[in-house]
Amino acid sequence: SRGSEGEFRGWEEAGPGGMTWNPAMFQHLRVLGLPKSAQLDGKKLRDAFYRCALAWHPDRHQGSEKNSAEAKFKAAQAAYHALRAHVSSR
Amino acid sequence: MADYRRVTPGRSQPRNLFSVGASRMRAVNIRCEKVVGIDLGTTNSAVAAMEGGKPTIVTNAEGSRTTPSVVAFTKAGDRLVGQIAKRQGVVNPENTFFSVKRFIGRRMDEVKEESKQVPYQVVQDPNGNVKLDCPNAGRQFAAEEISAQVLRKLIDDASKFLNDKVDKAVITVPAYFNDSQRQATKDSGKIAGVEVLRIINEPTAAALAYGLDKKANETILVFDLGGGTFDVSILEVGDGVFEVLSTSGDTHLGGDDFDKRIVDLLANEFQQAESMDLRNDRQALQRLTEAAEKAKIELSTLPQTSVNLPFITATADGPKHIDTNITKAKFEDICSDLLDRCRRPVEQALKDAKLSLSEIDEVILVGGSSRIPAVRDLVQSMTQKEPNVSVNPDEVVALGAAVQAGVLAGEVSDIVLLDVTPLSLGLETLGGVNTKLITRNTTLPTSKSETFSTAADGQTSVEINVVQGEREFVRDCKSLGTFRLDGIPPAPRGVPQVEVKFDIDANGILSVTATDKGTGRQQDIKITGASTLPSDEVDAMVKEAEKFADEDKAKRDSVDTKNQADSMVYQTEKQLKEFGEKIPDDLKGKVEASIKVLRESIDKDDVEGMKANMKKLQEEAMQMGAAMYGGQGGPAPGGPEGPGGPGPQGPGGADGKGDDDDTVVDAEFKDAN
Repeated sequence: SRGSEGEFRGWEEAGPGGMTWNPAMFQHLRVLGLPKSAQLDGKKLRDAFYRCALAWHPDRHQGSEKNSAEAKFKAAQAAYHALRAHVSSR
Repeated sequence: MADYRRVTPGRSQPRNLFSVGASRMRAVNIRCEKVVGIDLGTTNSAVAAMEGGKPTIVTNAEGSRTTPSVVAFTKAGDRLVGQIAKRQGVVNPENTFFSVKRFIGRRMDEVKEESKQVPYQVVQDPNGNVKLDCPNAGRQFAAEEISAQVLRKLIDDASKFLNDKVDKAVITVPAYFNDSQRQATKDSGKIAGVEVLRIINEPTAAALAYGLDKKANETILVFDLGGGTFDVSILEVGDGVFEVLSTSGDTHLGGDDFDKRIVDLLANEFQQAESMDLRNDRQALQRLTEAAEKAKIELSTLPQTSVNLPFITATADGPKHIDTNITKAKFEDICSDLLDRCRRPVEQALKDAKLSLSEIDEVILVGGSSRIPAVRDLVQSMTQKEPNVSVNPDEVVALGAAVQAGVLAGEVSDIVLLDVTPLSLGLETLGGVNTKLITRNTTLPTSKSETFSTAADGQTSVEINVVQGEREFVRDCKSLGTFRLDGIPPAPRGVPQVEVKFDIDANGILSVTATDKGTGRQQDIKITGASTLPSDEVDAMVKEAEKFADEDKAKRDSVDTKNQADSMVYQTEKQLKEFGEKIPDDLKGKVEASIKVLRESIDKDDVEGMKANMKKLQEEAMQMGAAMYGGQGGPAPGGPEGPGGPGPQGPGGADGKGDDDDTVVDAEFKDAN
């Protein structure tokens, strides 16, 4: 089963807040500019995402920068949604 | 029927890592152009622009802050837009188009009910789309064309008000508008000759205007009951970020429905007394509809209102009148089911945002119908909160659109709007199932991919049907477009891997790419919106609208020239009378002759003749002025013949400020118009 979460089992290590996280989650943290050791809660996560939104939303960029900004915004958004689901489910 | 099935619920992972603290946080702000925000409403529209960092409502040529979304065609062939069109609706019901927003981007089978409620003829074209029949114009119009007329007026008025050329706009639509309704709105802009930079949702725009100077984090619920649609949106606002959490609504519920209930009440009463259905008489229906709207508005402040419609019709016994009272209680009673329909979208929006009512900080009322006391009571009882009434429900949407226009033009630099897709997007899989890739309320821009496979052994191609909607089966959703990926090597079913990627940009434009992972073959489709109008038809409409604009300009030119000629005749005659003795007789004779000729060309409506004769008279009047001042020279003061000569452009000209010298002379022409 390629591409599913199963691939990451066995790689697990202790993440922020003592939760068990996989490497994908740490990638999400980096995308949002959060340290690996962050004590994560909903508000911190949202603030980080809003910082990314102000920085990378394509509406705030013109011309050639627009596309790269859009890619960064999409990554931040995906990270935010993945982490938010994680935080609220625990 | 789709011929492949889903294999793995794949998860797209970001490959690139970016840290935010990096440099270049802000783009350099170099652009500055006038972009306006337009609230293109069902019954009324408004325009706003950023002025000195604040969104400001643009007053129209008539001096009002909103413009009725009404277009009419008179017997004489004139096109009327706005208040002037609305005013003559009663006497010209079949050629007066209002509430057109209910039909825009719709197919006839979606608006059967609505089409019966309007006095003009709604017909179906060969493609099943809605067309509006206009006997006076001798043709049928698409709803897009009618809306374009309204947009054109709004833009013209805005460029006059702002004294600047306006050719770009942000237009709002109800949050629950689907793709074809949004695209149709964009097409209207195109027909009107404006570039639509963005379509944004009305409740979102309202939140932008409301939250502009709020610094603290707040969760707000926008309750937007307009003329024809109902929207609920929940947003989180803070630090310049406006994040839409969820949106819900009903595209068939609005103030018009409340009017309709009053119309039915009056018509039913009349039918019982006189056994005659007024709703079959288009003129009577129009008068009833207007009286109903007025009664509804009055019932927002009064416990009871009277409806007086003398000579509503005539029978063999003579003329018939309506003279009755409606109480607030009765009104609320006949509208109770409409009020109930406002509840579900609020609950749905809360559920989608995963919030409880106690987590909502503010409730904002938007739309004229939110003034109905029963609606306010309902909101208050549902949310347990006093609704915020600090914003003007008729203007806030246009103001918010102007803020977003400012962001896109680079004028507003500390705000970003994170809007969502209001409906889920997916594709058809085996058994006609709608497999959703992007769920509703996902923040834009976004992309998502999943891997699918074939459903039969040896299958070499898959057809991808892109659908929009919440229902489980494709037949209940809207198909946005289909494309085929072929050249898949024959293999047992389930083996080939086709990756389908959905990508929506900030403009809400969806691109879908399908890639066969085995061969790398790729096929894509850009869904610029499921327009109900074919693009060549839109192009034809653009051309026609341009022709209309040229005709308008010619007509305005002729009216302006006539006014100038009239005023020149009057002024010169006045001078002849007042200073007659100072003017030599031969000059007097020449001037009198010129006046006569100019008069004749005015009577004949001969624009070119008027222009030529005005020029001649002007030269003679100069000599006359010189004579009056005893040879001192200089033109006569107060005369229309100023230095540089009168230009043909009236105040309605969209040519920009360069042409309009603000001299005293020019101002006088404006008065004459």
